[in-house]
Amino acid sequence: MRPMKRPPLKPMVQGDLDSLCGLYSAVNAIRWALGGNPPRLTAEDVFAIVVSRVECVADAGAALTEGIEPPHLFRALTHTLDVLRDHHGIDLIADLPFVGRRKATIEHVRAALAADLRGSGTAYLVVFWGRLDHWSVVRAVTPASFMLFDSAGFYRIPLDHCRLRGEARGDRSRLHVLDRRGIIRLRLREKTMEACASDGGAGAVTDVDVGG
Amino acid sequence: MMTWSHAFRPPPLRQGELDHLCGLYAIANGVRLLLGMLPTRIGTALLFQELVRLAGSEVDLQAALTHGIEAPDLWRIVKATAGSIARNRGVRIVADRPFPSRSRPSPDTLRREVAAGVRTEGAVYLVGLRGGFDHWTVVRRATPRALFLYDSGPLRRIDVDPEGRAIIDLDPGREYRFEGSHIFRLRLAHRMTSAVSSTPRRRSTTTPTEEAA
Repeated sequence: MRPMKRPPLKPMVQGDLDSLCGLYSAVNAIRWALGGNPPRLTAEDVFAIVVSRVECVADAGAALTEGIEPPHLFRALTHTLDVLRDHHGIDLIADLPFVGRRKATIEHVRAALAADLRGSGTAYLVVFWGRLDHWSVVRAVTPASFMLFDSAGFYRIPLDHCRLRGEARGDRSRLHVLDRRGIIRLRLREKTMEACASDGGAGAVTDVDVGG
Repeated sequence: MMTWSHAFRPPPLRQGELDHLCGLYAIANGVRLLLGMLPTRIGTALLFQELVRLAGSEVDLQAALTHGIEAPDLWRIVKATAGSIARNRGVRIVADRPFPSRSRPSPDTLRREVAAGVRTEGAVYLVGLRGGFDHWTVVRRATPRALFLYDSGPLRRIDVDPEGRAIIDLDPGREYRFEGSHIFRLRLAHRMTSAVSSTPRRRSTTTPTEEAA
């Protein structure tokens, strides 16, 4: 009998082994809310700020290999926003709109995100437990999907595959579980929006609102 | 009110674009390549966790994430990894630096070293590129005109042009140089033994400077 040919061993590419999706999502959410990199800062600068803030709230080695828990990412993000506001004049605010809303369902999440993301200057960091086990940025919501701005290349997640933690399980196709602590809203105060526009260096063309 | 165009937004940053983990990925890929055909396959995720643990005892992880790992630090992590695999998995990996630290081997010298090392001992090489890409990669084999990579990023090969210059296809306008301190060789101890016993040992053109198991 001929031995089965072994498939070639492919190299692991950066991102395959580390669990940095939370940190990348924080950077991507800031970029989405601002429409590009913060004025006079590179994405590397923002990443360095996020990493330094993570070290204040969690073990960097664990964050690298096991990922970051929602409370830790929220704290690291708020510390990052403090730095951006105090040192760079970027006034972004983060909150947890679903913490404490025990009766909320995935439909409530869909409706809230759709309303918030219709305008500009808002992004949602969302953790998808379950099949993906992944932090991402929701940039828009359609009737059927969360549209992502994602560090791993995911483009959309079907809404009917999602449920909130604690919500009735429903059918088995609900592969992605959203955590109320892991739905983080990031908003840009209007004053900063105008500053970014007058700076002209936010890294994006800024003439049309296509909303969500 | 200021409004933003989704259509013109830059694409999302992908994992690997901002962190500087290429050194740790190069070790992980080098070890995988080296052990790939053995029954004692190490779960790559566990290997990476071990690498991060070892790196954490050698360098500041925050600095490693945002600025990368310097060659002397990465060399210590390579040696620690070889020691860890020997202790925990019973597989002896010999890590050494085939060129003196202060040397600057030409691309053709490196190419010949890789060709001989791969042919006789199944060696893999971790190489730090200096130039447009400041990047650690794995060289898996060599031909008369190129070094073929096993890379954690987008690189596939380094061409050695007729003038002996090292050129990367993604960055064709720039010449890359190599430094002895940035070239690590990994070999399996048992393959070294069998290579010595089964083939006449080719005289090495290089001077091993440091070895760890």
